[in-house]
Amino acid sequence: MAERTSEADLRIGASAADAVKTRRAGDRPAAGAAAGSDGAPAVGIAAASGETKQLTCITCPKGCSITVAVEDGAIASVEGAGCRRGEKYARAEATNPQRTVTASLCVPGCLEPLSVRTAEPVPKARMADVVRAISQLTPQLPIEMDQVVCPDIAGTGVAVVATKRLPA
Amino acid sequence: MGFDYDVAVVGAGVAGCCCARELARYDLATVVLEAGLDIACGATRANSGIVHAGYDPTPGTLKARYNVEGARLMPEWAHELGFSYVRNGAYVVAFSEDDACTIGELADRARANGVAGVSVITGAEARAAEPSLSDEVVAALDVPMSAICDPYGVAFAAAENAAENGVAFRFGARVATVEKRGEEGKADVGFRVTCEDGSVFTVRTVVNAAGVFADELNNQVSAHTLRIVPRRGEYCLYDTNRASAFKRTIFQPPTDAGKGVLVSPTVHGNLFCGPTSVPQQDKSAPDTTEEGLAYVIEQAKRTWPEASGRDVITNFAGLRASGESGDFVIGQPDDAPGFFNIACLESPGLTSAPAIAVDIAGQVAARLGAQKRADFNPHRAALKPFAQMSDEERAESVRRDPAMGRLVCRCRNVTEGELVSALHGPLPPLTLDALKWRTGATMGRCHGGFCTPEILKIASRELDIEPTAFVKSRAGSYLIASARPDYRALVSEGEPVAGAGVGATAHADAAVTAPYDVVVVGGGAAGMAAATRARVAGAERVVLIDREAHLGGIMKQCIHNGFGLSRFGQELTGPQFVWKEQRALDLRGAKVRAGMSVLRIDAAAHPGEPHTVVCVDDTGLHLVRTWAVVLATGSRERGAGAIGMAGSRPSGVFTAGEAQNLMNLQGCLPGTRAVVLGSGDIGLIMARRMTLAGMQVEGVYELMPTPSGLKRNIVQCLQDFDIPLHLSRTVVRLEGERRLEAVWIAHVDPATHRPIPDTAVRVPCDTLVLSVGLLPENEVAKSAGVELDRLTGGPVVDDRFETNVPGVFSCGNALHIHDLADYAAAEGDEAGSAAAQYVVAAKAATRASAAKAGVGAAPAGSVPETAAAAGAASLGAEAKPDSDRGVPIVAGEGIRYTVPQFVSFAEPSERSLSIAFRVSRAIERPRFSVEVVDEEGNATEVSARSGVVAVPAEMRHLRVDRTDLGNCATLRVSVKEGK
Ligand code: SF4
Repeated sequence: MAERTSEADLRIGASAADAVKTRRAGDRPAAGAAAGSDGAPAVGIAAASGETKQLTCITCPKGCSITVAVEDGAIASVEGAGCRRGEKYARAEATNPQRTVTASLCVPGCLEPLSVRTAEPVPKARMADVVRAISQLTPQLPIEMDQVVCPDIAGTGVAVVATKRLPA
Repeated sequence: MGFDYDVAVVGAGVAGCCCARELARYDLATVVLEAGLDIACGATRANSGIVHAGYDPTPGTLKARYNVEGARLMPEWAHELGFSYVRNGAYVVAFSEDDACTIGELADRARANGVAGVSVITGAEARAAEPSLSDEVVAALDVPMSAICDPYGVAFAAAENAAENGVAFRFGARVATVEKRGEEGKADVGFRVTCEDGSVFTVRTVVNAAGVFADELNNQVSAHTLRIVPRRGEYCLYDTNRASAFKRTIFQPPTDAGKGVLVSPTVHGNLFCGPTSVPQQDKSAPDTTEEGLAYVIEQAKRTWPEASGRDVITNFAGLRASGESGDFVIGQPDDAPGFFNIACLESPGLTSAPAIAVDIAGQVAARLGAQKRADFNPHRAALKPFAQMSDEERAESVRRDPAMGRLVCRCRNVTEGELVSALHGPLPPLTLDALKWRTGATMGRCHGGFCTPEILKIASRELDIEPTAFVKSRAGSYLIASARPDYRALVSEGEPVAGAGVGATAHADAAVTAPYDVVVVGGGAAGMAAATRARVAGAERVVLIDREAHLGGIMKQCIHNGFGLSRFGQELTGPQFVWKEQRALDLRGAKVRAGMSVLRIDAAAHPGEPHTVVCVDDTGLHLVRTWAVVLATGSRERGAGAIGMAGSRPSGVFTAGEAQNLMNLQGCLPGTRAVVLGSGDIGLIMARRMTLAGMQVEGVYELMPTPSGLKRNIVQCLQDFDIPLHLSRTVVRLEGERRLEAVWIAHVDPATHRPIPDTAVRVPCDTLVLSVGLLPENEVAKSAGVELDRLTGGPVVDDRFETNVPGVFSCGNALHIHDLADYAAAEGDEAGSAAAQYVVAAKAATRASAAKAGVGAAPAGSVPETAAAAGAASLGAEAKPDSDRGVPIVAGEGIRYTVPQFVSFAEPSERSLSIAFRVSRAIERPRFSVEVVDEEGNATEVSARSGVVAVPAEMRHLRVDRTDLGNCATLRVSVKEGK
């Protein structure tokens, strides 16, 4: 932890492949000014470095650090995963990162919004589209747990399901 | 004669309100014009609340006269108007010989002013009565007549009584000009009062009670100019758990600089210290300052060495209107008859207010030739707060109004019925703060984190306004930025009635039903698991009580995924996790009482008796008897008060859970541009949630040099969305008079965790979301006599999760804060089955001893005394001393705490013992170790494990083989840095 404590600013840099960027970090006056004033380097936890990628597994709370070596667009090795699920995650993250999207939407006649999730992870680059498409869904009461509220969200081929029961 | 009113009272502080109430005695048409949206927006609100006895003012001054007379009237007024008044007495302490002379002079003044009962006592005598007092105190002036009151309560009670007797109140009416009109001695003599909003009132007389602005009004009509220099006073308010420090108000000896910092209990059961006394030019609402708050605590330490920032729940600042002469300015200037000043009302203004009001109302009536009204009612029909009612009164109030059984503010026990009647009172509140000051809702430990979203619904429904139109304090201090268009329509339709149809028992016949085996209090992740497992482990009658309409606790609003991997082998969202737990619960046949709030637990008074869980819902008050209780009451979030941020008090500051509730359970957006303080998981989740909902998130700022949330959340909540995380930073100041406009963020010294001076930068935002930690919620546990661990904030338990009160168990976040819901639920499993085993074993022992005694099987509900002889398994035994609880587990080097804190040896030896713990600081290559320490102090390692890095934010577990525990006096957990 010693090196880390000296960094006042831990900028979580997104890799160049990250497509879901609403703004660039430089556009933020606060972040920009803070980073500039103490000259702290931007540290990318998952920054791409040459042929290997450092990833933090998000599959379970352990958060293993996984190193993926990529050669000629193919995965050469995966190291550091604590389990098979993590290895699978790392392979996908290095080539086609995916995320589960959760959201809520208002249903007529019920103050409590309906909570939903994508049944499968969707490509990370499509997250914003998926969120937007979910906000335009108009399910009606009653809604059962696990009910499919959209069979194919934003053309991803992934369904959106209810994670809550809302009786009529 | 073309007058709108006989009297315009300018200003609804305590002086204006008291005067309005006294004017209501006369046959006069009176209007009160108040600039703010509530009464007592100025000096009255941030006031010490002391009813001074009158030993301090110079004899012969107006201060001396009105103080002594006001102190005499105050208890009478308290009785008629129903505000809190407690004669707690005061000491003025002396730290030196010089000080001792000063208090001797005060004693002389007290006699000159006619204050009875004052005497000088020694330091030792003072400490004998007030043990928290500093050893430096050499003598004290004992003032038994000194009292405390709630300044807002005094003003409100007077105002409401005035309104009931026909006085009109106009809020948001800031008086701009007062002009004389007509000719003295003629019928048209009077004043034209113009407000900033353009409204005009013609009145015969004006009472100038405009606080720090009173000089400006006076100077418009009189050549005898006044100049008021506002003095800022800052205070720190402590949690009720510190209230026992002092019974009396403790003053420091007055110096040229002022009365010094005092420490005093409040009528609400808190403790406060303050004020500072700093002149300031600006007359607008004052901010607290970092220096001021530090000064208050530093000075309070002289009197109370234990004073610190710990347990401070909020800070506040007020302005005192100090005049140049040093005395009050009361009555008509000789060049402005009909214009009555109540000006320069600094301390002892609050105490003096009733006496001044009587005088001024009499003078106004004399000038206008008004008569006393026969129909004036001096009594205010004040509703007794639910929190102060007896059980019988509570049962009766719920019988009359079911909404009185729905607790909204769980910290202060304020019910929906009370909020509704306040919203429809004679002087309806127009703001959240007004509602808060009148009912106490949001004023408790959670600072409204839980109840503000609920109150928003109720206010929108009762006032029939959009939720975006409900403000915190002033126009523009909106609480939420947007809501769904049909919000108002939906809240008006009303929620399903919580708690109905769960077979609730009426108060009267509760006693006849047989006791439950296990009552689980709290239906979150841990509580649901505990109830299910209690049934699995053989408890027959199990009931789960939860205050909300639906089970799940905070998990209901955690709509993100990431739960359930270890418990269900499946990645679930919060509501899905709850759904699975609910199905398990239904399958096992535990009874559920939703919409029911537990008020307290009366622990069994004698062996062989059950515990009584006292709860309320909209069907009445219930006494639920049970052999065992599992406390799964969860946690609350640390709020803004606990962090001691200086600055103003704008709207737009939310705890992460509060913002989450507003978004995920009500479909509201809290703001448009947010800063998150604290990198706890809920904060990280909310950073993502707000971004996805279209808000701009400026960044997450963390006090510590390491993030406190899970790594996966830093990746998927921040990195994915390009949200910066700034470590070793904190918010030191809030900016904005109405809605939050910016926060000031300073660098933090990683060694001391204190902000580094002159490093603060301004970050514009309208929303601040706090994710600065959770605190176990154990008010119910305390009521049962459960001993708490200062480090965890939860009960001290043994390895069966039993507390020092036999039959009372604890689990989940109420026991200690967990990183993951799955672990809290797993602990619920353990506690639930332990509770069931306890009841099953005790019942078996009872049957065995009853059979031996030849009386046959004991009927349910009447475990005979002989059960007490059954030893460890007896029901309802007395609280256990530590010596009976088994082997203590101690936190050794590098360890902050362990759970459990005892090993009972009641568990079978083949079950390994699991110890949860946290490290006290970040440590690299940690090597954790558990040692058995024998009577002679010899230590033997029985369990060890190494890691890469350990941080306090992460809970760790170690397992110990129970067969290794022979010859063990203590069990010690420690951590060392590895090679
Ligand atoms: S690799 Fe396996 S163990 Fe490690 S974080 Fe990922 S899922 Fe968890």
